[in-house]
Amino acid sequence: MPLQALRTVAKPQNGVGAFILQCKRLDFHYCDWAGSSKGMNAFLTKTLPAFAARNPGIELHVSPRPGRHPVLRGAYINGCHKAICVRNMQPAEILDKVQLLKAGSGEKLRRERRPVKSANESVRGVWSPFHGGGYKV
Amino acid sequence: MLSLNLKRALLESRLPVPPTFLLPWAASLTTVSHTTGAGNVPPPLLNTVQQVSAEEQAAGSVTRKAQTPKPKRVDPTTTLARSATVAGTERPTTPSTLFSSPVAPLSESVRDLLPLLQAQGSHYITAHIHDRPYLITQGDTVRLPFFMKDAEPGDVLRLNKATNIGSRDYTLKASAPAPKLKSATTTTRMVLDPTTGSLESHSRVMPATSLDSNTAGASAAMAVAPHFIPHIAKGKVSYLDERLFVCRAVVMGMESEPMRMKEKTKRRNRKIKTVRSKHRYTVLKIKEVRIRGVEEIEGGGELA
Repeated sequence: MPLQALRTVAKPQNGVGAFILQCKRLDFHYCDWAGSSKGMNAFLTKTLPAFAARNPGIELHVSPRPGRHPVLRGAYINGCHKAICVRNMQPAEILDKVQLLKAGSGEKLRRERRPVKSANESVRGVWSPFHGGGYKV
Repeated sequence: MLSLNLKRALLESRLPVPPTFLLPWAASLTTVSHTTGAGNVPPPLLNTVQQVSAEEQAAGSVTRKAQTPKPKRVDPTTTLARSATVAGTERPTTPSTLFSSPVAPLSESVRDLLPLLQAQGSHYITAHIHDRPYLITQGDTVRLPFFMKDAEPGDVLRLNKATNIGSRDYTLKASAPAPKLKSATTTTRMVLDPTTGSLESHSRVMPATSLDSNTAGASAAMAVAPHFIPHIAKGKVSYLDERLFVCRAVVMGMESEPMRMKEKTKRRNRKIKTVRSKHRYTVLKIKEVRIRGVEEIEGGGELA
C-alpha cells in the first residue's frame, strides 16, 4: 500500500512571508461650497500628493460630493468599509484619520483580553497524567 | 501616568547622574559570580543594543529593535536545561565599558545542547517588549497594550530581549537575576558607638550612597540602592544572550478598542460626569523565531 500524502491547504499568514496592507482603497469626498470642507480641500491640495507617493499600494479616489460634509471612506481586503466624516477638521487632523484608516484591518472593533493570539499547537504538548514525572503517592 | 512623568524626569533631568552602568545598583550585577574553575577569563560584553543590521537597512524597511528604558549592559550567562533534569554551569560576567569586543565564547552547556534544541521542530520564545513578557511562536499575532507611534504597517521589528526559548524537550533560560537591592533605610544597622564609660550608646548607621562618585566606585560594589530608583529601572529580570536567537515581528497595523464610557459621580449628587476612552493598540505578527547555530554564533557573523 503506497504512502498516501495528506491533502492540506497552505495556511494564510499575512506578514510571516510577505506583508500585504489590508487597506486597499481610500475615497475622499469633498465639497467646494460647504465651509466644513475647507480643511479637506486644503488637505487634498497640499498633503494628499505626498501621502499618495508614500503609499503606492493604496488606490486613492477623490471625488466631489456637493452639498455634503467631507467624508473619508476606506475599503479593506476582507470586504468591509469604514467611513469617517471629517467635517470642520484641519488638514493635520484629517491626516491622522487617514493614517487610522490605513492601519486598520477592516475587522469589527473588539476588546481583546489576551495579547497573544496563536493558531499553532502547543510546543511542549498538552499535559497528560500518564506521561512525565507521574504522581508520587 | 506617574511612570511617564518619572521617565520624562529621568531622561530630561539635568542632575549630574552618572550613566546607568556606573550606578551602584547596576554595578552589583557583577557580584553574581560562580567561578567554575581556574583559567576562566570572563568574556567581555557586546554592546549590541544600538546596532541595526545592514541588510535590513538596505531592504528599505524601517527596522528597529525593541527598546527598553534601561540599556542592556550585562551579557547574562545562559543555562540550558532539560525539562526533567537541571544541569547548568555559569560563567562569571563583568560589565565592560564602551568598546565592542570580539565574539565571546559560549558556555559548555549551551554549546552542547543548543544543537539539540535547534533540531527539534517547533520553538517558542518569551520575548519582552518594554519588560512585558509575551510567549510567542512563529505566526502568532500580538496585540501590544500600547500604541507605537512611529511604527508604520509593514515595518519589521527585531525583538532582542528574551528570557526563555524552548522546544518540546529543551528549554534555554537566562541566568538568575541579581539579588534584589534594598534601599539605604532598609539596610540600616544598629552600631555600638565607641563611647567611653559605662553608658552604652547605639546609633543607626545607614550605608552612604554616593551618586556623585564617577570613579571606579562601581567596583566598590555597594550593596545598597541609591535613594531613587524609578520602578521601570529596577532590573528584576535578566535576559538571554542576543546572539543566540533571531526574533522578528512585523507591524500589522493598529486596532482600537470599542468606545468605553465611565460614569463618575458621588452619592447624593445628581451631576454625572462621563469619561470616554478609546485606546489604540499596535498589532504585531511574529514573522520569525529562529535559534542560531553554534558555528553561526561563534563565527561572529553579522546579527542577521
